Amino acid sequence: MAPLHSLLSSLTALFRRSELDDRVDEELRFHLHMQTQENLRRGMAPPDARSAARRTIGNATQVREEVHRMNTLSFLEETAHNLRFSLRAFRKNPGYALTAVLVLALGLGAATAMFGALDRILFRPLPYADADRLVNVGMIFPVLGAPGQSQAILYSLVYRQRWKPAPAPFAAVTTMQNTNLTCDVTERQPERLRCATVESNFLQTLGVRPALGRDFTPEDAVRGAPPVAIVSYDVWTRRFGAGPGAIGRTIELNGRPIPVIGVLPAGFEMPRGEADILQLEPLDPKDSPSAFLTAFGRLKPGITPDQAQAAIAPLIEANASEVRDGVRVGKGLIKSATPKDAQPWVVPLREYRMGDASRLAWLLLGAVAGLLLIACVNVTNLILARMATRNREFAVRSALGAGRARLARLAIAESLLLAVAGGGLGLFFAAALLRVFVQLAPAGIPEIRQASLDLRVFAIAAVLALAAGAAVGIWPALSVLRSPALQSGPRATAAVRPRLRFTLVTVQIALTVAMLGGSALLLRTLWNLVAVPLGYRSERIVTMNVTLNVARYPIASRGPFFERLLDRIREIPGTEAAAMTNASPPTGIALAGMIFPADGRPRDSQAPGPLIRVREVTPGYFQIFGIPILRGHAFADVDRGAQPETILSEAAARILFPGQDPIGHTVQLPPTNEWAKVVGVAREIRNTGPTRQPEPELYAVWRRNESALFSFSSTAYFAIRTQTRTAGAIALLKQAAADLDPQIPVTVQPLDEEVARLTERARFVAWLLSAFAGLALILAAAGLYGVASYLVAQRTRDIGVRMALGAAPADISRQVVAEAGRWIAAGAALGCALAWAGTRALKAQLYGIGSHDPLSWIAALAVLCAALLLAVLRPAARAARVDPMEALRAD
Amino acid sequence: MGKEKAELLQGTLDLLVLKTLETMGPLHGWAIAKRIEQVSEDLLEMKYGTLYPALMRLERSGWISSEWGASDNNRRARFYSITRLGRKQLAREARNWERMAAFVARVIRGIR
Repeated sequence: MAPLHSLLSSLTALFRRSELDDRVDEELRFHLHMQTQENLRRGMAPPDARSAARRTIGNATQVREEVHRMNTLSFLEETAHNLRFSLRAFRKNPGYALTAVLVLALGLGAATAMFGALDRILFRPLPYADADRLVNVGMIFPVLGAPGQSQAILYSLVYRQRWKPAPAPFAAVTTMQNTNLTCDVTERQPERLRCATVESNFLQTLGVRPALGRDFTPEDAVRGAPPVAIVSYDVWTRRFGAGPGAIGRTIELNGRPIPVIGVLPAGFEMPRGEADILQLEPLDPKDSPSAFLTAFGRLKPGITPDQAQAAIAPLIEANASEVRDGVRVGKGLIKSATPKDAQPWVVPLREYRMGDASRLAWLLLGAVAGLLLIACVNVTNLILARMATRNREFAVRSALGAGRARLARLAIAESLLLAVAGGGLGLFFAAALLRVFVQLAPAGIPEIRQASLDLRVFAIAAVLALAAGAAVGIWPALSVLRSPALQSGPRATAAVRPRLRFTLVTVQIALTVAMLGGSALLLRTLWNLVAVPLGYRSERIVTMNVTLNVARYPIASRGPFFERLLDRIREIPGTEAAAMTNASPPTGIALAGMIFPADGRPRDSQAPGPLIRVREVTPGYFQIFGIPILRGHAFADVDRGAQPETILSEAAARILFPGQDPIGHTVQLPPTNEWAKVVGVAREIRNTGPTRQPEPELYAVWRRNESALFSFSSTAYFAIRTQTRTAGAIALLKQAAADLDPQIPVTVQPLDEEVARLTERARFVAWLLSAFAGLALILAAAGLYGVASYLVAQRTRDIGVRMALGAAPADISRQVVAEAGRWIAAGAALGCALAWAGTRALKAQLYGIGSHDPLSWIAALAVLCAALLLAVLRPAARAARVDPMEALRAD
Repeated sequence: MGKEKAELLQGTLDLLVLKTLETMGPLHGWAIAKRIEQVSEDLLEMKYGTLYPALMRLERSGWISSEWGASDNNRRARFYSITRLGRKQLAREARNWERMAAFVARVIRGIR
């Protein structure tokens, strides 16, 4: 009752301050009158009586304030007042306010944009129920790449059966086959979709329920059961008009009508890759004996991925030895050399989805945090500098009855206002910056294209702005609380100790050093990457890939179609040479590696050894890419269709025929098991990108009208060397394909662009970090300039005295520079120490240099010193120009 | 005025004001101050700066109410009177005070 009462009267009082003031004033006058009357009665003279009365009353304003504070929600009102006052102060000094707001907007905007871009990688919950219990599970094969680069797989459908029921640490295990496989809708409005095949408990294990219709059931997966499909929300809206009647209708995929049983919820995401249609993977190993499955498990509550990994180790080992001895599947025997060094692998789903992108994300987030910190320090310094000039104002306020706490609150209010304005402006900046990120981001950063400024990012931006406001306001507020000047009156000038400001500048410099060093390392990395000889040429080469609609092109018709297209391409004016291959040239993976028996020896399943990539090519391939044939000769056009022949890369030759000249020897090629004659040895190329060692490669000749190794493949790649610039050729190539079949999709690309993409990620990181470091340097230089200027202004008198006593202007300048130099040195040393520890995070992004590469660090320090010395030049010159007469006369 | 003035104990002012209003009926601020000074035999000096904020506080708590009226010399003055809530509060505070005073007295006698 009483609190409510007081709250109500407070609220009314808030809006009726003047009325309340009137009442207090009137009571005061009455009190004064009565006291004066009494004094008169006691026999005082009238003027004495009045002044005595006034004395007993004391400080009337303070009483009024006290009454008022008691009667209102004074905090609210005071804050409003503080904000009004701050706005007025900013209007009077717009340069200061604008600078502070811009600097904060820069820092906050960059941080917000970065958070928006990386949120999905690092923080945002995955779109599955209890997602932290989901893991990627299976085995990895070190020969296929380092852990993290190769994904964990279950070897085949055989394994899937061995994993039923789910092993102890898991509540459930499910599998999917490769996603991003294309499938064609062959009814009205034909289009190409991405189809994935999954196990029947896939959605259930992820904790996702169809938005409409039903989930797969085990009955759907029984052999011989009619195929069914679950479509994405997108397909449902696009093809079925988002109607409930979609369930039970069919969608014709690759020439086969499939009933739709369910619709995925909007915003559903596959654990990796994308899918428009989910279908069931075959249940019986006989249907697809050697498929690679990606498996996901839901851990039982309280089990960590590490525990699960230890728990499945025996199972993996048993599976591996089983497959080594051969697993009988129907009439066939699956035997593999690779599982010998299979290792158990259980990682959280987020890690599986994001791979090493999360390390990169933390690095970028760290850099942007550094930038924000520098921006805050800069603004703090700016505010402190302004405090120094407002010292007199604060002294007057305090003399007029403002408490210190009140003044400190005023200081905080000012900085909060700056931060909120900065944050608001920062949002615009962030929106623009985010667009640039998304444009520039390399393909290796997952999900960055979905990044946007949504409510979640806005909330973070608001929190950041308030935190920044508090951070930049806290020092100035404290300095008000501690300031001796409030007591010593308007003459005092030492309200803000320069030591604090120099400390802040040192911190700024230290952070800048770390960022400059980091970006120098990344730039050198980029330089190293670009300088790596790839072993093939890319100029004036265009690559094109064509994927046939499998329903309209049965296997036997594919080879002849590709041949026709190749002939057609050769006829295009401007084509110098053209070749065809079945894997993206020259870096694409042809097929997971294979082991090839050589010279009639049987396949040695106990010695897996390095795997060899394989691709089929038409004869012009080596000439187009400029890959030299070191021994023997290239394929001749006349050979096509006659004997199977191969060319080995140097490494492949070393593996298959150690210590011998391989020319004339034979290699057995799957799946026909023909023995192919080795006719040449080709120079190694960087077929896995510039940073990794070349992998051994085997080239088989693509015989006329039939691709022996990859006959099932519906995709072919063409490499075309053009006489002129590539831009004109692209349209002609598309036309050539359309002439044969207007419906097949083709992708045409200059090889130069593809090669540039190999270093895209390094380019992106280097670019971004250099931009941040550059901004940091500008802010640090501005900060140092401000402090040095302040110092010179403050010491004008001292300088005047010294000059009057005979110091040369050069001495004065030197002294200023030397003093600043000490702080630069301190900051640089601190920064190096910081970076020494911190750059370990960079290591994964570097190539060809260590994280302590001296040249990079020397360059960073040189740039830093140059920029900072430039910043103190003007204050130093101003110090030298001080007129002793004027300096001594002033004030 | 050579007389030694007593310090007003923290929290006792509310009690004094409420008691005064209970005994005397509605009074203006000046009269409350004078009445307290008089009862204390001028041991206490009620300053304007102490009394008025207290009156505001009591009113805000709902223990007293106020309205404009005319003083003896026909000037406009604010008259304060105790409310029902105020009487309850006074009873509570008085009890507290007596207990406290008795306790303090015992302690002091004990020390002597």
